[in-house]
Amino acid sequence: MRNITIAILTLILVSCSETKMLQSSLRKLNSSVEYLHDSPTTSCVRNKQVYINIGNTPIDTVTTVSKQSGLLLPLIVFDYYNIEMKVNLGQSSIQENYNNFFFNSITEESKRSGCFTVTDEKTNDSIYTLDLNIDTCNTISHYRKSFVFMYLFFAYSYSYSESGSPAETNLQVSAKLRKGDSLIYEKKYCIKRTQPFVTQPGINSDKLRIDFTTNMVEGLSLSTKNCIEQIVDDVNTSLYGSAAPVMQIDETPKIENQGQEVIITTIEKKTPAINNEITTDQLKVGDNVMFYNFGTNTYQKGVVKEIKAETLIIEYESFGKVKTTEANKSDIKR
Amino acid sequence: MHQMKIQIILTIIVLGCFYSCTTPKYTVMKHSQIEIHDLDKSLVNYIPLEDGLVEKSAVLDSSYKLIHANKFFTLESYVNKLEKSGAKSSDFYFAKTLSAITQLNYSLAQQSLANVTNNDYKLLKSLLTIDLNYEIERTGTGVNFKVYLQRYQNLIDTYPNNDLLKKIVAIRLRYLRYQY
Repeated sequence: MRNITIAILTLILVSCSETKMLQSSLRKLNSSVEYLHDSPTTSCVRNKQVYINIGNTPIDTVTTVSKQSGLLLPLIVFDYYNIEMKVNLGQSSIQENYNNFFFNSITEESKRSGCFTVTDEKTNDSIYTLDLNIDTCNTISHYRKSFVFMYLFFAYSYSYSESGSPAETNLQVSAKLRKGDSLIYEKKYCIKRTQPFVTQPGINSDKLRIDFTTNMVEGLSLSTKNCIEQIVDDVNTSLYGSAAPVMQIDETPKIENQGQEVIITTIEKKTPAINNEITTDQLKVGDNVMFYNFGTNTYQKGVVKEIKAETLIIEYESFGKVKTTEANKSDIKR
Repeated sequence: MHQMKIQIILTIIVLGCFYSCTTPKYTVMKHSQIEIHDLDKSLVNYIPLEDGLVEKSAVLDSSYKLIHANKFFTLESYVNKLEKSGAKSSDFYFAKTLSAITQLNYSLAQQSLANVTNNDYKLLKSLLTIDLNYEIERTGTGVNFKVYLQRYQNLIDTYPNNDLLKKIVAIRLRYLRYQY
């Protein structure tokens, strides 16, 4: 009877201190908020400068855990407790300082898809100022623990489980673009995202908590990515309207003397044919050609690499790889 | 008692085989069979093979079919047989890389991949070089997330118009974050 009383008291004590224990455990863990920049790079002229000013982020200093619901059944032969806790992500669980990360990410994104350059100077009137205020930066998730103990006098049985839920991020950013005192655009961005929780079966509670923290930081990371891409896109539109000035680039810089452009239609895989007045005798190595690829059903750019007695070797790019195709002169249509 | 031991061992083997066969980390797939729109929700690490590449190489075609039939040991025998017959083409070394990946022998896969020199495999080689380094480091000293993030970033920046690659790398990044 004494042992049972001790067991029940221990159970009550443990269940009451669960939030503190989890909080202490999660505060030791952190994850990187960095993400992959995969937006398409733009070739527009960057002749406008933008000074970016980011207000302080309302993110908690440390990760906090609070009890949401719980059930405790301290019976003699059957003990059960189930506790669900709410976890709020704090700066302590993020490897990078979030404010610096946000600034660096928007600078990096502007280098990729922005039609402007980010500057450190604020004084010049000709420079645009982008005021960003992070109104809400909240990532929450739920963590559940349950324990079942059965005492059958001659034997006992118990089971213990922990599980995490997908993280929910709510990121709200106010943006104002100004030139001098005049307001050019103003918008409030509201990103709400639920990040699926990736975990593997059979992992221990330490790994589960690492994955849980990673999931929350991942949610915040991808929400920030989404928000930043939208901001850069809107700044582009505000600065230039729908059509930004495109930089004139030489698409085939390796070839110094670019010649005529012709359209070649590939009838079969190795039998391209020219469908205009230019004959293959007029082509020379280095000429740009467009040919129809029946494999992908699209026109593709290519460059004449070699002119043989009966055939024409054309080099083109497909899925990031340089490929060649051979045209048979005898199959050419005129 | 002896029979019981054999039964337990067999059960463990069957469960092990079932687990290893049903949860492959990398899946070899032709471009035409990958649904690019579904990749946002996917957690499968694809090794994307261009259809034309598989069609023009008998070795790769056979390897692809064996992988999709889950005949990993047959694939290993096939690759060994080719090696004994003196095969040294890039197709052969790439098939050997795929075979080693299915056997989770990442060091061997890395060695074989180093011998793939054909330009047709340039993108796949770059992608798998990062993947295999990650797998080897993960089981050893651990992985630096930012180092691998930068490597994948460099890869997608090398092929900026390849949307399939971007989606595939985004899935790899999830594994990288969670260190799986």
